[in-house]
Formats: sequence, C-alpha cells, structure tokens
Amino acid sequence: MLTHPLPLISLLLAGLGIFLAYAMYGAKWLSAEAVGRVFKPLHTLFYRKYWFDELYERVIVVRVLVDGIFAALSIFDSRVVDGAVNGVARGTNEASGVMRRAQTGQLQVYGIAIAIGVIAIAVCFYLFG
Amino acid sequence: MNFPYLSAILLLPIIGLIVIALLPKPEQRTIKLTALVFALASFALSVAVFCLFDRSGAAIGQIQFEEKLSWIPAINAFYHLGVDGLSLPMVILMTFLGVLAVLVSWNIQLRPKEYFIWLLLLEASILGVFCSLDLVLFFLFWELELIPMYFLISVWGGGRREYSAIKYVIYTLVGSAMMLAGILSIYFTAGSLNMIELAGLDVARPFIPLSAMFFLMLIGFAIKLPVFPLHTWLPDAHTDAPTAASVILAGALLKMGGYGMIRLCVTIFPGVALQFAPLLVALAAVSVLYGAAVTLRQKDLKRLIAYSSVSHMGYVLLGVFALSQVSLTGAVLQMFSHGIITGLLFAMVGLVYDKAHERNLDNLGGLARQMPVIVVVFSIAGLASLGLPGTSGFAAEFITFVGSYSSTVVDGVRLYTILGVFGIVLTAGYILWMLQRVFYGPPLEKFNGVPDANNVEKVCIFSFVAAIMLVGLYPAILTDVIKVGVEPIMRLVGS
Repeated sequence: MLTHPLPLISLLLAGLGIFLAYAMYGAKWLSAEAVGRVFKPLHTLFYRKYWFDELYERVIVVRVLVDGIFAALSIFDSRVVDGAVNGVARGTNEASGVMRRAQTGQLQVYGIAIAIGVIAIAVCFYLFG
Repeated sequence: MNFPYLSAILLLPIIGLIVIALLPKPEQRTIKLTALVFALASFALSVAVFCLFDRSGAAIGQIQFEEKLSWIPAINAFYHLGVDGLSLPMVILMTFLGVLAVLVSWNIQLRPKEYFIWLLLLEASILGVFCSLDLVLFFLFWELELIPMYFLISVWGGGRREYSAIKYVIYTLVGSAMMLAGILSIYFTAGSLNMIELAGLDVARPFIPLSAMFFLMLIGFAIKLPVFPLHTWLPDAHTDAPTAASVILAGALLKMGGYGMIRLCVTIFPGVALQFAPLLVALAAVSVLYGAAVTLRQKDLKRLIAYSSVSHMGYVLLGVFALSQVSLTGAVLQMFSHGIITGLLFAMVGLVYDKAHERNLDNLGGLARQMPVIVVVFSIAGLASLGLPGTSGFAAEFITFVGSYSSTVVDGVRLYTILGVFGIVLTAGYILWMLQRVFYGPPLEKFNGVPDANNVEKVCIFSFVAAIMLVGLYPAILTDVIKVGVEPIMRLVGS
C-alpha cells in the first residue's frame, strides 16, 4: 500500500509525458509545431534549456571569471605583486639618492659626525654601562 | 679508477665553448656544428649513465658515479659530484634540452660565436647544480648560471630585454643571498658541506634555529621555482628571452628550484619541512590557481606560455610538501615532464613568431592552413600540458595528485589537492582557447605564404614529441629511477 499520493502523481505525469511524446512524434496525431506555437513561451524556455548554456558561457565564464575575477587578479599581479618588487627597487634607488647627499667630501663635516658619534658612545657607556 | 662520467658530462659543453672561442674567424655553420657535437656528446654520456644506473633495491640511498676530490681544505669543501634518483632525471633533462636548444638556435644571425658560447656555459652551469654534492660547489654553479642567462636575454632577447634581464639577475641574487646565509649557517652548525652527510641534520645547539635555515634556503628556491608571490621575474624573463633561452629557462632552470627544495630543504630539515608543510601546500594551491587565472588573461602568446609555468610549478610544490613517497615521485616526474612539454611549447611559439612575425593573440588566426606540421605539434604539446592520457603530463600530474591526496602526514592536504585539480580545468581552458585563437578560424590574408617548419626544426620538435610520448606511455622508465632517490627521504620524514 502506498503511504503517500505524490509518487503516484509523478508516475502519472511521466506516463502522460511519454504518451504525449508518442502522440506528437510517434503516431503524429498532434503537430509538434502547432503545440509549440500554442505554448510559445514554455516551448522557447525548454528549447533553450532554460538558457543554461548562455548562463555558463556568457555570464559565468566570460563575465564572472575571465573578465571579472581573472581580470582583477591580472591587474593585482602587475600592480600589487610586481609593483611591490619594482617599488623596492625604486625605493632603494631614491634612498641612495638622498643618502649620497651626506657624502660631501668635506673632512670637517665627517670630523663633526665622528665627534658626535664618540660623544654618543661615551654617554651611553656612562648611562648604561 | 672508473671513467668520470659526470665530470665528462659537465666538461664537454665547457670544452665546446673553448673550442668555439678559439676558432679563428669561423663560419656560422662551423660554430653551430661544434656546439651541436659537444651538446650531443654530453647527452650521449648522460644516456649512458642513465642506462648504467643501478635501479635495484640495493641502490636505495646510494650515490652513484661519485667523484670526490679535495678542493678547499680550509673549509672542508670538495669537488664532489654524484647522482641519485633525484638528480639523474634532471641531468638527462638538461642534456636533452641542451641539444635541442642548439637546434632551436639554428637561425641565429646576430653574433653567433658569443651566442653559442653563452648557451654552452649555461648548460654546463645548470648541469653542475644537479650534479654537485658539496654546498659550495652547488652555490658556485647556482650563481654561475646567472651570467650566461643575463647576456642571452639582454643581447639576443626582444621587447624590454635589458629590464627583464636585470630583473631576473637581481631577483635571483636576492634569493641567492639568503641561500648563502643558509649555507653558511648550516656550515657553522654542522662543520660539513657534504649534502649527503647533512641529511636529517640534528644538533642540540644550531647556529640559528633550524627553521630559520630552512626558510633562508626555501626562499632562494621558491624564487627560482617560482612560487606565488615571488614569480613576477618569470613572465618578463621568459617573454623577452630568445627562444633557446626560454626553452632552457622554463625547461631546466626552474627545476633547480624544485630540486633544491627536495635535496636541501626537505632532506636536511625533514622535521621543519613536516612542520611547515600545511602552509606550503596551501601556497602551492594558490600558485596553481592564481597562475592559471592570470594565464587566461594574457594577450601575448609567449607570455601566456610563460605564465602557465607558474601554475604547473605549483604542482611540483604540492607534490614535494605533501611529503609522501608517491607525491614526491610525482613531483620529480612533473619537473621532468614540464621540462620537455614547456620546452616544446616555447620552441613552437618561437617557430610561429619566426614565420608569422606576430605574437599578439588578437592579431593571429587561421594559421592551421599555412603551417600544418606546426599546428599538429603545437596541439600535441598543448594537450600534453593539460594532461591528456598518453602524454608525460598526464602521468606526472596523476601521480602527483594521487600521492598528495593520500598523504597522511600533512594536515589539510586533501583540500589543497582538490583545489589544485581545478587548475587542470583552467589549463584546458587557456590551452584550447589559445590553440583556437592562433590556428583556427578563417585563414588571414596577411599570413599567405607563411612557411611551415623546415627539416632542422622538424627534427627538433619531433624529438620533443617522442620524449613526451615515451614518458607518457611508459613512465616507469623514470619512476624506477626516481623511486631510488625518494625512498631515503621518506625514511627521514618518517612516513
């Protein structure tokens, strides 16, 4: 004994579908084109497979992946990842541009720097050591 | 004393370049033939070594064809060569690519003498990396390789060649500096430079923590492999290098990174490798997917192939740090397989550019009519790259995935393996899309009269195809050898 009518209904619907297919394509009692014209929107929906091919091809593959996420990653790759590498190079270059100004060649300036250094070390020794 | 096979393999390209350098006003043909003869001799000797190599159980963990001479006694450095199951496939790969790189360069017109000298020096230095068993010797060859590659890219390259060449050298040198610090700290800790004796380094008071040494070495290798986010030198260098240099760069040079990871990082520091493996397999999955995603966006044919290497080397990283016997075997096989497949892909890109003078995918199309041989071989290379069964790409990737998925020592490796498998789908996407855009569609008028491959080129590309098929149909030819090298590492890792 069946406990629920639902399986019966689906079985009945499937049977009807098979009968309808036989009527249209096997025995040709009904014209498939005519039925298609009557249920135009439904016919188009089924005929285009719910537009799943278009969904995959145009939306998921092209829009979301290739032109979306992958494009963003590609920009990330050249701007951020490679940009960081080139940034380190530029930073080194610019820092050396600044630091070279300290090399004036004037012995007096170097002398002062050495004197300040010696005093600083002496103070440190006096305070901490 | 036995015949010093490895020294001979190393020295033949060097003798070749000396002969070329000493030729007074040579004909172009003489230079090329000399280079070819010496490259072939080196390849023939490496095949001999491959045939004589002991694959039996007794050979597990044994170094074969060992040569050891005292070199710098003060620091205990030796001229120490030898091969095992890990390095032998890489040696064969390099000598094979060395021959084909000479053939690929057959049409070089600009300063051919210098060109072939640099090419042979490049071959010798890479072979040195794979044969060395002494850390100082290893480092010497590792650094030596930069010089010929710098000149090959900056003189014979195209595009922004000076930028790419200097970027390659500085980027690699940063890695080398860390590696040197790693090597020094290993030496200060253990007092030895012998790569075999150092296996499973275990000392109570290391110079710096073992994990610090591990990462110093790893970063040097990760730049070479390359691993995201240290990969951006690769597309520039590969794209702007001349064809033969691209073939060797992608084919053999990247493998120095993978080989170094296994030989030095995993073998010397198995405990640290085990500890950080979850992080590194995650990075591998990122490399695979990120590399493939960025590849799909490339408009330049050569740059596209270059980026695909980032993705494919991710599989190597995955296999290495999944730390199972099968996954490591797969990783080494993948290194070999990627070497011949990408070598062929770059050779094909070079041929297409040579004939059609165009590399931009938007301007290419319909070339299948004009170059039937090239389209067939390019398709075979592409299908091998996406892992079609029967090609070496399938064997290598399949073994890597099976080994990684079934690894029991690394947490979360299953998830990252599954993520990595999706890389194959993306690979199929960019390879097939690329073939479609270059070769199919209506024939374009501007490409009328574009010639197909000539006989020298056919010999070269058919040799690649034969190697891809041989390894694809009978991977045991290599896995028998690799097994002998991988087993002792598994004993160290303890899985």
